[in-house]
Amino acid sequence: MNRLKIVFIALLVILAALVAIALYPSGDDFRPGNRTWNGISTLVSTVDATAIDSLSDLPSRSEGTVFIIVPYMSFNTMELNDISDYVFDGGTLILLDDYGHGNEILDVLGVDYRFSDAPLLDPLVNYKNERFPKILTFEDLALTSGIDALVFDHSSCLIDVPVGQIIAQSSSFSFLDTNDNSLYDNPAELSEQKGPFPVIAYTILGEGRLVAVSDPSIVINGMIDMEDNLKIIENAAILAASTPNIYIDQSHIPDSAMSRAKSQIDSVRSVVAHPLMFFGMAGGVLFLTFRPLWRKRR
Amino acid sequence: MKRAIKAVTVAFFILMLLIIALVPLAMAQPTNIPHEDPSTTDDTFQAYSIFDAYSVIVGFLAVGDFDDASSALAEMAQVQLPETIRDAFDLYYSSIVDVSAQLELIVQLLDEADSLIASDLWAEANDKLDDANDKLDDANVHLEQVEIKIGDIRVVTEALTNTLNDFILDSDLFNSVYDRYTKIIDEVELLRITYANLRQELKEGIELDGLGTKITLDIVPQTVQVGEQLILSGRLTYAGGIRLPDMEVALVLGTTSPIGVPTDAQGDYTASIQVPYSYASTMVVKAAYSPKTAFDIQNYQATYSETNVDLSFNTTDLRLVDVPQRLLIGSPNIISGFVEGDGVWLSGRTVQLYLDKSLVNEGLTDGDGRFELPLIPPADYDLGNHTIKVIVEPHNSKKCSGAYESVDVRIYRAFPEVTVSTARYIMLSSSMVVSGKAIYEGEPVVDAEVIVNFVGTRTATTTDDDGQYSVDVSLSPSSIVMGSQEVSVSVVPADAWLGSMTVRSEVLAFSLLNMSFVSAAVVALGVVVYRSRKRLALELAEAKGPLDLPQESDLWDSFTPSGNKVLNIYHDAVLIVGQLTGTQFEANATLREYLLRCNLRQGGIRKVFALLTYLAEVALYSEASPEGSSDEAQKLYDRLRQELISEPS
Repeated sequence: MNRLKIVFIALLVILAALVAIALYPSGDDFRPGNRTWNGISTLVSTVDATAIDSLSDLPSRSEGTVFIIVPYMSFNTMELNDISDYVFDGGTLILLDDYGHGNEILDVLGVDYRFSDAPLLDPLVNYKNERFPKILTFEDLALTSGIDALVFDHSSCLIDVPVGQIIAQSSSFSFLDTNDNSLYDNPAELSEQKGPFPVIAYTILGEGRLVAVSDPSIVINGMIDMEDNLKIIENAAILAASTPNIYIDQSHIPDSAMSRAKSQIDSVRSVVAHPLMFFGMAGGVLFLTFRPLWRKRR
Repeated sequence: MKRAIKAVTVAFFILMLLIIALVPLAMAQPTNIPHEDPSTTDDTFQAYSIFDAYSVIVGFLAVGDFDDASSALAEMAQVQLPETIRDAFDLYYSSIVDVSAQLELIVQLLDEADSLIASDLWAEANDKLDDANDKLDDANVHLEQVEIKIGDIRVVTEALTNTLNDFILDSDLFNSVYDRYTKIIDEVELLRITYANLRQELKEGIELDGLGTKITLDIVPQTVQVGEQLILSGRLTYAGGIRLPDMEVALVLGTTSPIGVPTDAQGDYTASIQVPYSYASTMVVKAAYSPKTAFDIQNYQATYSETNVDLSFNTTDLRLVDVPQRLLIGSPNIISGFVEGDGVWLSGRTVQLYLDKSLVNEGLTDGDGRFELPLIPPADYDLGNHTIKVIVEPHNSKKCSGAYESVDVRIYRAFPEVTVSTARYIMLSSSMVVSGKAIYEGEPVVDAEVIVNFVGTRTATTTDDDGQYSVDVSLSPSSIVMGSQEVSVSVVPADAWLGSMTVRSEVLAFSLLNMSFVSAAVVALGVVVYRSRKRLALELAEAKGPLDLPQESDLWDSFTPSGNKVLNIYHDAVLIVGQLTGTQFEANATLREYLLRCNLRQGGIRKVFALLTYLAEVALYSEASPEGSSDEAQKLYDRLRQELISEPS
């Protein structure tokens, strides 16, 4: 096999791989472009949200806007200050977390409660199984208007929430499965607590609001249409304004290798699509195409 | 065949490379996000947990913790039960609820009786204890039913165990339920003991407190209109008829607060009391005596007497005339009707309109007793089934009762019809006009916000007075690919009663840049493929090995037919050149390959031998040699010889 053939096959493989990667649908969690069960394309299209890749893309005037964040990557000091400024200046922050870095945000906002980081299971009041606890107990507020039930997916809970700030609670049959054996163990032996546990908290901070929900998965495509999961997000958004601008953070969600590859291909494509680059490449291709003819004529 | 195998091998190799490169990439997901696809998760029902929960609830009942038992039972009502065991658990659930309610009532009655005994209100305490006794008997009956139902559930569960592995329950759990059930029996027994103690306490209290008292109660008139005065009178006596003067008698009409009235020197009391505006057919009237001072408590028993008074009032009838079954959200829906009483239309009556539990409008009836109240469901109100309640307030000054009617309605939202008109195809990066019209029931939808989304480009406008809109969508060449693209037009009407409507259309988009790029890439690929194939053909020919050519002597025999002078001359020239350069004419070589292989230096000799080679090729491959070619060959041969002789070795 000569060198030209090897180069040709290698180019063909690379080209096919690039095309396949570019066309393969995104499967990353919480990505607006992901139309499968773990994406958030339904939420983004339903509430007309804007995905942002950096907290610096937040509007300078936060009043009347809503910021949804799923904090699965840690924050630096500047980012935490941006979030704090956003809320205290009048923005509405919907913090969706279970086992991520939400407590960093709660800490900088100066609230007392935290995400438990322990799995909340409910063997009785659930959807299909204990890992999908159903939430049926709500405070009668505008935030919970028209909401009869929520379904969570592998959630945690909130701890140390002041009584007046608890918006929703799990059933009394729920428990924190601290040893991950999916069973409620005798509290005297293993200190597994039994419910009800707070799962949504609402706090007014300065001019703004914080809505903390102990399960980000309520917004994924597979869960958003279950019971009133979408309604709680819509209600929280309406707290900010009748038709608020909604932003969804994408900068604190881990990328998969596929997603990074797609992003890089897209960057290359945008460069190639530039007119100057295009004409340069087209000229090169034409030169290579007609070179054999010129050589023959000579 | 060999080529086909080679091609398949290469294709397989490419495919494997792609799979090896892409599959791990596609499968790789961040591992620290815990969630699960709800559509594929296993559907498990934890019968064990259900029984455990009931066990806990029974435990609450056993210790008299009715609040926790009640809230836990309310949550249990939300549990999704499989159809196969629903009946069994429903039986259990209903029995537990019955027993819970019964026990709670018994405890409440005993508590009240205890409180009354402590306040020396013997007569009422006696009644409470009688009630408690009845309830204890009822509780026993319920407990027997619960015991039977637990047995039924055991049978059902054992039957399910045989068919469904999921419902295998251990006997310890059932034993736990039975243990706690036994504790309820103990609780009932405890309540019985409490009851007996209170009875004894009551009896002792009555005996200790002295002589029995009696109070009579007469009312005039027997039938009274609400708001009118009722005269109550009677006499308080003790020890079989001795009158008790200067005591306070408490008079109570219905649910009003007691009014204290003193007895006179004869032990008689009388009072005129306004009948409260209670629009029921009868009302209970009570006269009660409770000793107050230490002396009285020591010497007189408490007593009470009660009777019923018939009430009269003007009735009110409410007749709804127009109540739409479906209410359009955000727009006025007229609810109308008439209010009459005793055959007369009633004017000036207050009519209240409730949507579910919220007061949404209020008005008065006109001179004909008619009312018309617009009901506007708020724009953000939940769609679906709701209840309208029309209430006519009681008119106390006219002694008229109230009335109400409830109607089930369905709240809905209307949607405009939206048309979209776009070009069928578009050549990028030009702009595109998207236009159309929004109407509702033939009327234009004015001032509606129109949002056009096209490949990430969002453009907004509003509809004009004719409901028409038109937007110029500008597109960036780098932001689009070729092919069918979706145009989405969302119309958000200004009127709250009209819902948003989104209509989609398809536009075939072409990008000149992308098309040029793709065309050039295809041409380049074609050239590369062509050249590769050509080289492949050559390699295949080489791979086949040397052709089966004749031997050198045979070749020259065929080259030197009599009469072909040019080839003879060329033959002589080859001998000379071969001798001088040491290059032999190989059997499988062409004349031109021999010329190249001789490696003659550039210049006269090479040129002469090249021309001679050319003439030989013509003689060899052409049907007829050109005129004079043999003479020309001879000249070249001579010149070659001359050049070679003069060539320094």
